[in-house]
Amino acid sequence: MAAIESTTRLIQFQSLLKPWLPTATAIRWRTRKPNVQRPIPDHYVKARYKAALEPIYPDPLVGMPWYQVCGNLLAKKEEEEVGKYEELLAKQFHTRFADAQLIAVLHENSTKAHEIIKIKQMLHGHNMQMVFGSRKIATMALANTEFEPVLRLHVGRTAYLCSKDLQISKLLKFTKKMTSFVLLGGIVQGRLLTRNELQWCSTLPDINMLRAELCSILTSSTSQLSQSLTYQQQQLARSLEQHVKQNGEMSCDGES
Amino acid sequence: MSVPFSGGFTRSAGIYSAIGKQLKSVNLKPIKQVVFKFDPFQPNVKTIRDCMFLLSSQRVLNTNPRCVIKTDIADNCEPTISITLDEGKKLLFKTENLNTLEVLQEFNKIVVPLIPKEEEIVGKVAGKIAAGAGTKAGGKPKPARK
Repeated sequence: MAAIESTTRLIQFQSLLKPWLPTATAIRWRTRKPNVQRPIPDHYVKARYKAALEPIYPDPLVGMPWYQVCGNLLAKKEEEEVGKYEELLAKQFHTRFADAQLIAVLHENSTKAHEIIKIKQMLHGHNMQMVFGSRKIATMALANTEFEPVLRLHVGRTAYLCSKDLQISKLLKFTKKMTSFVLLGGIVQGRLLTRNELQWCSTLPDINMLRAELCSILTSSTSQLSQSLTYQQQQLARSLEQHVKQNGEMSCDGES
Repeated sequence: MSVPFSGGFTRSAGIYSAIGKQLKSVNLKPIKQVVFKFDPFQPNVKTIRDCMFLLSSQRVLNTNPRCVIKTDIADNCEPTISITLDEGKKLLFKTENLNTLEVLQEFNKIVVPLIPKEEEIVGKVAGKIAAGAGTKAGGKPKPARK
């Protein structure tokens, strides 16, 4: 019984909850086409009823404090939604940075597209790539990563030149050819360097040579120490040997 | 008694519009050399970098192709724009605490009065030149093919 009651109630509610659908009424006309854009004003009585039935909503600003009512005050910025495309760009940006061993930070002066195409052609086949991106995308890509210090240099127009090989002199040569880009600094194996430091870096010999040099320096001190420690004993042994030799010669002479 | 009106009738169109207006009157004619010197690791370099971008545009460079624009990146120095005029005078803009708009306004205030005015050709000479140009443009009538 209860189930039947609930269903009947539902049916009653359904009649109330019917959505309102705009109805299209056909108007018959023969002589004059009805003006849809600017229809004839309603009859006076109808217009009065319509005006009387128009809902009056309360003013949303009434009762609110002055600092919310005043339109001249800057409203709090709402958090912008991050678009999918921006996310994709940021991801691409980060992967290019992560792949590179050497990154040059460049200031971009006003350039034309054909100049950028020429630069891309120049870099083609050298494992180098230009990376462009706005400040927003750069912060999305690089914030809270090892490359975060680079964002300090991303003021205004900035471009990056990512190289997969560690050839600083080659990179500097290319940056000199780009007239509309100015080298500001760079990242060499995760370390942020200034322009002068980059130039100094380019004059350094190969890292393996430096490692060998360091090894030789490290081993030289130990060998010197061991030599100085064993010097006295060796000399004693040598003099004893000599003494034994001399004694042997003497005994030989005595026997003869 | 009424209070006399003071102020603008319209609201400002914003900083970018103002920069655009200033940029229209930028002219490098009386300038020999512009050197931008800054350390990119210093905090207030946005102004100088923006100015570099704006002054390197093709439209501005075309006003004086002989003008040399250099950038000098040094360590631990304040951002400055040093301009050498044709007269030999030197201007120095310390842009650390300036706005891009302020730099352009000051630049125009100093440089625009120094631009040499183009002499307008008037009178008979103008007529003669015009006539000459007309004949030149027209050229000699080509001999008819036989």
